[in-house]
Parts: sequence; structure tokens; C-alpha cells
Amino acid sequence: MTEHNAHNTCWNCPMFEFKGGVDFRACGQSAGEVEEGFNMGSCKRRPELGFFDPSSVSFEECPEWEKSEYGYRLRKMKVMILGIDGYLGWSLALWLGSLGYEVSGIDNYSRRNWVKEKGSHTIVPIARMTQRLKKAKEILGININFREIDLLDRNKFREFLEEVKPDAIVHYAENPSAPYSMVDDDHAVFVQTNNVMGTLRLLFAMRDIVPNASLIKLGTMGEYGTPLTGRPIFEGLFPADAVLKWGDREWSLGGELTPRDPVSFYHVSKVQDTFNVYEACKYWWLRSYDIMQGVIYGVHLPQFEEDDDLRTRFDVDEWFGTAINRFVAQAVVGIPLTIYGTGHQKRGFLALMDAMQCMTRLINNPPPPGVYDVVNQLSGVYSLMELAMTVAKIGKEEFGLSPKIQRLENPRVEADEHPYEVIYKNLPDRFGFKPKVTLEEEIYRMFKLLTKPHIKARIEEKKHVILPRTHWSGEKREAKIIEIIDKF
Amino acid sequence: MWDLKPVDEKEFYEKVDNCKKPVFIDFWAVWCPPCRMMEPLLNDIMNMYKDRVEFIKVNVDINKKIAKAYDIQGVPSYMIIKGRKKIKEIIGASSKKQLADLIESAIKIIDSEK
Repeated sequence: MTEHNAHNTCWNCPMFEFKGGVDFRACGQSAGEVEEGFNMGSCKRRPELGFFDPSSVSFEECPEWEKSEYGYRLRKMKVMILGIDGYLGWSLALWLGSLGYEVSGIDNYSRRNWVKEKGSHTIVPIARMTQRLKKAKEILGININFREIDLLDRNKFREFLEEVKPDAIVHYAENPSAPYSMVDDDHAVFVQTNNVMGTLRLLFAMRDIVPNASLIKLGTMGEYGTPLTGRPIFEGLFPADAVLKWGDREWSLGGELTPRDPVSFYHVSKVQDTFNVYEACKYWWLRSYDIMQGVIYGVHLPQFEEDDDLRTRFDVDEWFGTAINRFVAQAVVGIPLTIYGTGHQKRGFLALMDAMQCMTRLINNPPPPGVYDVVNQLSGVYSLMELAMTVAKIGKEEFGLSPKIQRLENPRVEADEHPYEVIYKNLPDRFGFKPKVTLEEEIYRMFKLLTKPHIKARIEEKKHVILPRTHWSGEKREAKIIEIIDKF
Repeated sequence: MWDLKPVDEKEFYEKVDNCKKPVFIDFWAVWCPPCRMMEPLLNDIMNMYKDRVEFIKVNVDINKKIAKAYDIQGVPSYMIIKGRKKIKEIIGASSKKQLADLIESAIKIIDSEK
């Protein structure tokens, strides 16, 4: 079988250095005076090739790109993970490290502090970073080059970037919580400053230090909102056959950014990031995938099973707990699974291990310079009620629990009855992604882990911070119960 | 996908000079996302018009002389020529109807000049 990226060429490779002859400009921008003749450049790894046309060598022909389970990949590829201490960051570090990538990363432990601020803790206990790194090395043989750095610390970050010179950068270093951004003006200002300015610092640093590295930037499906017209949610950009009709005229919308309708000040920060990354690709020929990620759920990677100190964090509080993860924790300690409003809100979801597969495939497939591309990263769309029912059913039938579901007044401002047609073809069609984890399988694994006595005790200890108290209106009170459902 | 292979300068002028039909040129670049996005749609257009029009794909970075000769200022650009003479062009991603209109109107101009 031909790998999805076999026919990529040096245009896609971070090792290729253009040496003139390329008329980089925005599509539609007037051509400048450029040298005539072919595009030429050289390869940092294969200087013996001299100057050559970047279209002339494909990944499958290049000895520096080797075949792997997730497409061709650059040998000894250096991947820097920003936000490496978080739920996804730590998971990806172990995942990539096990596959043989050279992993580095930064974090300033802000997620640990935000959860502490809520009065909560990760219910799956995690080790301190020094212990995590030690165990990763001892047990999995992975050397992770870690620095405690805030992305907003310009000088420290640039020094580290200069030292590592990564080939790909995964950007998870943002505050990921909608309710956190809606607590008050201090929290909203913090989230937008941290997220938007952090990304902006990163883009300038990439321009100056690693302009050939690809940026895999975490966005969210929440950037799009839920268009009530029922129009499909495309993958960030309109396809060429989407047209705008007005009167008797029509124009292609192909390649233009699709409308965004964020649903919290946190989501607004992600939309702002989208524009900043898009512009940086246009101005400086950076290359990026903006990932519109669905809600990630789950606890399982093979690497976690090796030692408890290798596990990733798992939050269930109202600020950082996400739908399926929170439902399972609630079922384990016998508090009703909370649904906001009707529970008919539909969202995209993806299991943790499948998310790692997607990231690996994107890292292996750097876009050509100047290209800003978007993928909608999810493996299925479900209503929240449907998910709560699935969790309750597995809890009841497989673990002898007696879960209930409670509908609460919705603390958010969002449509709970809406059409939702999401296009998510890029990852399977262009990058070879095939989901390997079923919803039921991962929920089962979560129950297995969360019903362990020491973890169950940690949920019991923090169950008072699970129910929502942060209302989009600004009120601070527990949401009223509308209905309790105990028959499934 | 847009099945055409890009041509070099020699092939380009050979085709253009010897072709009895109008020629549709897709000026594109590797680094241009709308160019890539247009590929399936261009394939449909080619299937609709291949009996009446010749299709050619020109990479503007590789064929700078051709791009300069036809004053290509942006990509993607779609142009109809007859012989070496430019008849009509459209710049930027375009709908199927816009491309069909481009071809039909160019054919009309060419017929009226006969």
C-alpha cells in the first residue's frame, strides 16, 4: 500500500533550504523581480546533492524519510511540545518518544495551578515532572529534553528554540477552559492574553529561528459554533465548489476562511489564534496545520500501563473536566451525570489514543512553505445525552453501578437544539487516519481505572467542584436541576 | 484530482503553436492552497470541454519565462489563449460556472475573429 505522504517532495521537508528562485508571495499578489530558472535549494542532511529542484525528490525516494506505521517519517525528527505537562502534552511526549522521535518540551505547570485554584486535583494522580522524566527514561528509554518555561517569556523560549531547533512544533500551551474564561474579567483577560500573546510570541520566534519547522497548532471545533442554518462545518477553509451567490452573480469561496462563531471568551482566543497563524503563514512562509479538535476523552495509551508515574492527568472539575471524562467519574461515585439544558447539543469527539495517531500523521506530513491548512480532528459526532446514556449503560451493566442522569439549567449561552453537519474528511482521506478505539471500549477502560479504590477516593474528595457554578451571565451559584432520569 | 502533468517551456510552446483548438492554461504554484483546492473542479471542467479546448498546466515557479510572457500577477490564474494570443483570463479560485463562462465567452470571441 502506498503511504499517504509517499509523493510529498522536498517542498514539504523541513530539511530543504530554498536558495532563491522561488517567488514567494500571497496568492494574487503582484510578482516581484525574481531570478529566472528553476527553484533551487539544498538539503541540510544530504549536502552531496548540491543544488536541486525541490520537486525532484519524493519522500519514498529519499533515504532520510523512512516508512512507518503512520506514513513516511523523517529520521530522528525533532518534535517540540509546548505544554508538555498537560493531558495531551504528556501523552504525546510518551507516544512520540516510544516511536523514536526526539522529543523536547516546555511547560510552566499552569494547568496544575489552575486546577488548584478551583480547589480540585487531577483524579488520576500524576508525578512531579522530574519523576515523570526519570521514569520515561528508565522504563520506556525515552529522553525528553524538558525546560520549565512560560511561552510568554520571550528570551528563555527563544534560547531553548535556538538550542533544540525542532523540525515540528506542537502547540498545546494554552488555557483550554471555556468556563475559566467566563469567571470574571480577570480570568477572561488572562485567558486571552495567555493564549493569543503566547501564540504570537511563538510565531515571531519561529520566523526568526526555525522558519522551516511545521507548526501543529491546537484549535477547537468550538471555534465554528453550531450554525443554525444547517450549513456544513467545513475544514476551516471553503472548498473550491462552494459559491457565494448574490443577485445573478456568483463567486467561488474556495480557499477563504469559513465563518467562526465562538461560544466563550476562551473560544474567541482560539479564533484570534487562527487568524494570527493564517497571517504568519502568508507573511513569512511558515507552514501550519490548525487542528479543530473535538473533545478528547479517555485514559489509555500503552505507555501509561507500564507505570503509574507515567500516567497523564485527568480532570473532572467544572472548569477542566470534559463531557465523557466527567460522566464516568460521576457514575463511579454515584452522583448523577450532569447534562446542561436538553442535552441535545451535538459535538465531535475523539479517543485519546486516536488523537495521538492523528498528531503523528500530521507531524509526518509537513505542509509546503506558506501553507495554512486545517483539519477537523474527530472520529464521531454525538449528542451529550447520547453519551451520558452510553456511560450510564456501561456503568450499570459492566460495573454494577446505578447511575442517574440529571438535566441542569444550562449555565452557558448556546443552542441546545441545532443541526450539526461536520466535514471531517481530511484526516482519513489525505493523511490515512483510521480510528482504532471505539467509544464503548474507551469508556470501559475509564471505568476500570476510575473504580480503583485510590482513584475513586480522589473523586469523592473533590465531588463538590464538579457541578457548574460559573454561568455565562456572571452569576455564581449552583445550576438548578430540571429533571432526573434514572431509566435508560 | 487534476490529472494533467505540468509542462515545461519547450512542451508548452510546442502544444500552443500546434494546437488548432483554444488552450486553457492553469497557472499554479506548489505553495498556493487555492490552486490545490481547485484541482477536482478543474478536472470536471476538463471533462466537460476536452473536445473543444486543450488544457495545459503551468507551474509559475518552474516556468517563470512563460509566467512573465503572459503577465501572470497572481495564482491561481486561468487563461484562454489561441495560438500565443491571450483571449481572456480570470484570477483566483473560481466557481465552475465562472470557469465555464470564461471558456464559452473566449470561444465566442475566437469565433467572431475568424
